[in-house]
Amino acid sequence: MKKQFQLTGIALLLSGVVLSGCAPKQAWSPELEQAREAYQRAAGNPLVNSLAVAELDQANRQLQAAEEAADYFKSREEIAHQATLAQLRSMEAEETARALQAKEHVRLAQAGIAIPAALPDATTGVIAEPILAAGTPQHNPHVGPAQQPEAMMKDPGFSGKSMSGGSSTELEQIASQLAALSAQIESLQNRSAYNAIQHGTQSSNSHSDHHATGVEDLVNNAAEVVLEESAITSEPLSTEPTLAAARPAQETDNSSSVYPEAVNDAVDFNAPNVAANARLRAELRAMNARPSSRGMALTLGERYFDSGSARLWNGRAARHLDNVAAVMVENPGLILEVEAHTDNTGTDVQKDNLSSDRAIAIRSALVLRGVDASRINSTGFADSSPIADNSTALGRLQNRRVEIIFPNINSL
Amino acid sequence: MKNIFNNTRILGKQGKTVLMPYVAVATLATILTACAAPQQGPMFYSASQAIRAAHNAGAVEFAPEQLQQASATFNKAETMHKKRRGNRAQKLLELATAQANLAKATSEAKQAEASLSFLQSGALR
Repeated sequence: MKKQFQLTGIALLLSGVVLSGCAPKQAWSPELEQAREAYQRAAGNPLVNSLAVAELDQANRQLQAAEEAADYFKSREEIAHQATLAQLRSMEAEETARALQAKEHVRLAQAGIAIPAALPDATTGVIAEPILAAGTPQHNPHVGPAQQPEAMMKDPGFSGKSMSGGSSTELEQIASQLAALSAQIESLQNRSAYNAIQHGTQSSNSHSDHHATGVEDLVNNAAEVVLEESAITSEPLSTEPTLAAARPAQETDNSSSVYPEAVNDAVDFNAPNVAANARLRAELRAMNARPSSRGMALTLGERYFDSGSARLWNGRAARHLDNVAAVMVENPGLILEVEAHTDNTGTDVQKDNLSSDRAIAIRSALVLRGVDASRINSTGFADSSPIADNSTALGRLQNRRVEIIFPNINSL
Repeated sequence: MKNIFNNTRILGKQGKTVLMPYVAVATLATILTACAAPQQGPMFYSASQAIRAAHNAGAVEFAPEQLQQASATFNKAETMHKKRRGNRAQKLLELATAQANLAKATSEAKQAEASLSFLQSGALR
């Protein structure tokens, strides 16, 4: 009798072990499956990965919360709720990237610059023509009269069809690209002319002089950026505002008056084309590049970003990055280091994340402007390389910066 | 159980009379609080802000369904809140915020794409 009890006990124990082995490790939920798919789709898209970093990060955290809810067999309602939120956030990341990409293309189109063709579509990750056709009424039936869609439909120049279809549309595309290219060339020529004027009148250089040249806004961008950055460093506007960029504090002592010559001497990148070299020198001077031990360096102040975020402000940052991208596109031999720094506020993780995200944001912005991603290396340094005292507000402001370095332009 | 108000050893004869008005006020306050509508917290504020932002981004035109969903979820949250189902209301508010954010992002994307399309169609002429 006793033996029978023992055997029954062992049998029950064994069956318990077997059943627990077969039991699911996690509560199953269709919403969770959908959330995983949505997140993977977003995370697998390079554009989302670089343009909507914060949103993707939120989606990731939300998905982890949903997975945790399923791991701990929380109520079905709770799992579904967390999963739905994760799915919505993944979709938001995709849409945010799509919006940023489209806005950037609008900006380029308005400036008459050709839209880089080989960019992946934010929603699909597919590299192709849809960039040109993405906004057509065919794709977006709700698109309407904020942009006067009826007028667009009545417009004889507007076919209402995707521009990618048919040989005549291909010809039209080529024609538009040629027109955009010629506009870009004209813009660059204007910019060079402006730089020459600026260099010639440097002794009486002032903000009013920049505007007095009468060169169009696009050409003025570099000078405006210089003035804005000089405000960041709180240096009084001198008679040479172009020299007063957000230069690190330790380098401001010695070379303000000889700086343009230093740039002239420093630029040596073995390019055979003298004209191209001259233009590059002019571009770098206009962008207020300064020689450093690692090459020519530009500093972008924190005002280029939303506070505590890696999202770039559209106006200022876009204008400055246009110039950097133009230099990179014109000089395929150049490579770029993007290094982002923070002040010492916040936790280590926050600082690491913010600096990395900002470096990636700048890199992505340049890639959007047609620079090959393999030519740009982005790194976040958190608060490991301060250039000013973190105990003062001004010092912290100076420390929150992104440095763009051209390592193969030998400066010294 | 002994009535402490009648227990002169605990309160004393004087204490009993002094305490009574306070008790009455506290009881009245409890009753009034129970009858009043519950206060809406910061979650309501952030959800309504998100919906407003979506609205301002042109979601009525460019992402009407998503905006509608967000508004409906917000209304449900209000109903739940009135029924004192705070947890459910909070979850609905989280959902409404996420839906509104999605509506805003979608609207911005579609609007920018429409602008681009318009610019490009103009360039082809």
